[in-house]
Amino acid sequence: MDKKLRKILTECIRDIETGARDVDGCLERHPDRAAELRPHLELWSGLDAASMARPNFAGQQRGHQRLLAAITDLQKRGERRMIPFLTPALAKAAAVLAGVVLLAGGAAGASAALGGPDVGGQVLSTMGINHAPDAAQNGKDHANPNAFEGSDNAGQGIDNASETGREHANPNALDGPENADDHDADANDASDDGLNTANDRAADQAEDGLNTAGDAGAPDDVPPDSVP
Amino acid sequence: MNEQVASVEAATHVQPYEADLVGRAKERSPEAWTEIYNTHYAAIFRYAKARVFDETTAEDLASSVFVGALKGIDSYRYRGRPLLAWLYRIARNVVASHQREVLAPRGEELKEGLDLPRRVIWHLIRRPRRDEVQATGRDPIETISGEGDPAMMVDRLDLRDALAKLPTNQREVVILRFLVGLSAQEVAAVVGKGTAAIYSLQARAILALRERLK
Repeated sequence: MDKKLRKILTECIRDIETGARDVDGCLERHPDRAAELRPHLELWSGLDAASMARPNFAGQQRGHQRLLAAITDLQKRGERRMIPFLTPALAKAAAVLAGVVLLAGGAAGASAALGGPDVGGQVLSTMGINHAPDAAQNGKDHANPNAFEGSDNAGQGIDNASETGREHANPNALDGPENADDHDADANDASDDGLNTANDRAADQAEDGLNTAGDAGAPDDVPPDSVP
Repeated sequence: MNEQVASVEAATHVQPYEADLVGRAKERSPEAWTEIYNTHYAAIFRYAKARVFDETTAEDLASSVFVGALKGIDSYRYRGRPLLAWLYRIARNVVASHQREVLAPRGEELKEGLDLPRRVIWHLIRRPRRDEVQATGRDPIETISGEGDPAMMVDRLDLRDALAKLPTNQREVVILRFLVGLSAQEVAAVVGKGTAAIYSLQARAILALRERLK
């Protein structure tokens, strides 16, 4: 492409658009290129003079109605969005409550089975049992040794194992891992909802509950064959 | 130069007005959207018409541009550029999306029936179908001479074909300048370039169009 011609044409278009010159003025300014320049400027003028498409009034009105309908629709959706906005908060609250109840119930059940202290009461009184993954892990750590020891003791037929309490902790110890698993799952649900407070308390409680169960004297009527 | 000064002065007045309008539009004010629609519909319609060369389709697309703007207004930040520049960007996307939807199936249809080179297929799919011509009673691909009283040279120009062959930036400038009817300053503001660049792109486009007439 002829760069010189392009440059002249650019200048001419600028001059015509700004009103500094008309087509003839541009041609007079570049007499040596006038023959080449003329058809280009005529084409440019022809495009400039071309009539623009006129929008159809009915079509424009239809588009306007469509826009207004879209505004109404968005406004309605905005109102509806308020209810889903509240739902997650309610779901979180329900998850917290469910987690607390399950953890407290598990710990209380373990204690009750052993006939030990009222762990459930302690759990309920202290609350804030939300970080059960740690608690569950602690529960497992504490429960498993007791379970194995209890199993050995049961096999040996030792009746008076209440001195240490460990031997009688077998049923609880077996329940411990299950409870811990349940708590683990519950806590995962809870933590998914962002409920990560009072972690240490939960861990301590779970640990205390299981330790209490282990240390407590087990009832004499627990059959030794109940232990695997 | 006077025109540029006037343009700057006009922009100074327009900015607070448009900023306020955008603020009200964000609040889904029907009045604000009606104002935006009435102010810019013609330009958006002309742009769409220049791209698709069909009045009914252009009406639908122009309408879609404003509905799209309504849906996207929350993420739009007014920074002093004309509101039309934002609408133009939406219009470009809407037209491109439409062309993908419309042209792609027709291309597939042709490819299935004919084993033609890609360039030939694209040439064919740009032409109207015979049933479309019969239905409307006229060829939707018209020279610009069918709509007014243009210069003789433009009569000979199949504008749709010519525009399609221009590089994108030149084509957009020609459409906005001549078919939408914006001034060079307005085109510059809409496409985000300097006015000098718009003059240069016009000159390049004219040279390219002239080549096609030879």
